[in-house]
Amino acid sequence: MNLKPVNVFIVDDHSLIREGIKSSLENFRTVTVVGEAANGKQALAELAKQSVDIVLMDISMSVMDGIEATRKIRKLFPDLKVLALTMHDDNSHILKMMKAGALGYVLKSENSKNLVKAIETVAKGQTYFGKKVSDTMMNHLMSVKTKKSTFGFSQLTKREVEILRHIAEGLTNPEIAKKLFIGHRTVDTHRRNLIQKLNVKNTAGLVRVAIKNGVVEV
Amino acid sequence: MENLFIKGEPISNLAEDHIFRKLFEFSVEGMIILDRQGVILNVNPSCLAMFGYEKEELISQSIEKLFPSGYKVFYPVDGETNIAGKPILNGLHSSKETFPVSVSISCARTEAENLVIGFLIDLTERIKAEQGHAQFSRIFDESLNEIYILDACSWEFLSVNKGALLHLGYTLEEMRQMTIFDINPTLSRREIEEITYPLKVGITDKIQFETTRLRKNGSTYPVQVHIQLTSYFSKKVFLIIAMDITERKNIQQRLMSAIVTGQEKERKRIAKELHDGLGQYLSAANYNLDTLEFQTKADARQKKTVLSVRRIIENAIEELKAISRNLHPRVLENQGLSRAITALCETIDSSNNLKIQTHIDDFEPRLPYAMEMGLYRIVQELVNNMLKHARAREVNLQLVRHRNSLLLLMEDDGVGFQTSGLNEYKFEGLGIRNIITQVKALNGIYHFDSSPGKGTSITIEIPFKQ
Repeated sequence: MNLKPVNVFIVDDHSLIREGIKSSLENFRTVTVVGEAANGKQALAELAKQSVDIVLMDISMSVMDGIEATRKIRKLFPDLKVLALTMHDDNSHILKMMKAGALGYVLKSENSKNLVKAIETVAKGQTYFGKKVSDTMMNHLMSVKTKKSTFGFSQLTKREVEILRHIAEGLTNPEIAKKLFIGHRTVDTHRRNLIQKLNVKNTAGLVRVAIKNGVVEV
Repeated sequence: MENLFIKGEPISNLAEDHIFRKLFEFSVEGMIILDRQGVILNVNPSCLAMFGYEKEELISQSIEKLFPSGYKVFYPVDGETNIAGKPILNGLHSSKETFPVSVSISCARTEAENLVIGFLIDLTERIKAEQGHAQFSRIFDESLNEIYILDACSWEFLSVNKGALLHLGYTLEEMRQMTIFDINPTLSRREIEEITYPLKVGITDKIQFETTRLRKNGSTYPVQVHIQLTSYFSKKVFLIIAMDITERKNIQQRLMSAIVTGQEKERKRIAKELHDGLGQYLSAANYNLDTLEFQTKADARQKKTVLSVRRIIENAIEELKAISRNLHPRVLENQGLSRAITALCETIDSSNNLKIQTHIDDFEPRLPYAMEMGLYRIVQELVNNMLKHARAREVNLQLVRHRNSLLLLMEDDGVGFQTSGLNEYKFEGLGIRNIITQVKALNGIYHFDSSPGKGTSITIEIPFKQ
């Protein structure tokens, strides 16, 4: 453990929050709060005057928001580390903060023990994400990945397969509607969607797909 | 009656004198008897009534008292005794007003002298009626609204006015070969039959609804339609009056989109205030609780209280975030429609005993923001409604891009409801009205398809060209 406590600077536009963080960090000997500011602009002015290890940076602030402030801090004080401390739990904010140069990202809903852990980790120059933050990022990465997969016959719903079968059997929309107890307009919507989703040109194309996948016997 | 007077034959040879007198007295036609010089010898009561005179005022007067320019008609110069056809003369009423009279003339020879007999019919009413008819048919024809008369059985057009021809781009001859189905692209024969059924069975006199017209050139436009069942040349026909409501629709769409935009702006503001304002206070309380927790390390009861307060605050924060997300879905703003809808379905999937299957196309580049937001709100409302009413176990939600439109389909296997032929949603709750507002703001069309026990399918189509 570091003998020298980590010098922390808090940037948040709510004085209540600053007070809250300050008082909750007072219980930990590894951390010392050495200053605070209500927005990015004020923070830049203050940081030039004193020696700080880590900035706890809020994102939504009126004068200069946390993203811009982080970018400027990284440029002006390359040794200073930024830890985002915010309510925003969506990946867009997370990504923007990381791009701006923050090393860690902690939600305000985390308790102070986790906050201290984050401060200690980032002080060592390592990255830190809270559990919820890393979950969000994972989800985002997964969704980007699945985007690329193409649509195929196997992804059709039960009803779509049923409709495809009846189309292949040569039934008209009203006939299919009657059989499945649904409106013929719904059948028509399905037919159009099937053509689009299966990437065929017309009903004949649908019939081919149906035959190829054994939906109907030839 | 005219055959009593075969031209040139003496009256006494044709009929008994008293028969003639009876006819003369009671005929509804005016009759007038003149001598060869145009002097009135006798007039019948119908004639007196027609001209507004007493008998004494006319006897021995010249015919010109009744027909100022009629002498030539009664006494043609070439000596012809009868005039072909029935000329129309201006009669002069005792009130000095003129009026149209159809005149037919016969000559009769009695023993004493040659007489001229005129048969007179007052044409005032008939001409008025004919003029009225012509006027009406001109209005009918030149109305800029579309007026159609079509056979109630075969649905063929019997007659259409110029307005309809002008709007649709067909000639009358072409239209006479067509049926109503040829100009109604969005309604099937079955649907039209369903809609007009109440007229046929006499439940109602008039039906009106909005639909779409298909022009000869393939383009379409929205119309407001009124249908009545009536007869035309002893045929059962539908009289359809249609009004082009493109302009009204445009205004409606602009209005709806203004409403929606305003709503979204306000929602965004409230969401931000909740998240960045109230949320911050809750976070601050949480930090103070951390401090308190350290200070109360020893006391187990106090620790328990701190813990429960913390749980309350954390729940409040979660709730607040959910409300704020609902009011203004950041995921939509940041990641686009597909991801936002998927995320919405995921939260429902996990919290309800319900299987939602989704197929949401990717939109790259992203759709215009108003369209993303509108579609997201529609899905949100659809899903909320379904959760509230449908008692469904399986739901299928699809948003598929087509060449000129986006097609949104939601099907569930829930309890369903009765839809009428006009596709009016029976329980028009706030949710449904919101959906309709959003759809109209995007210039789209919606269709609810459901029956009790058979689930519900909702199709929404939004025009969109890349």
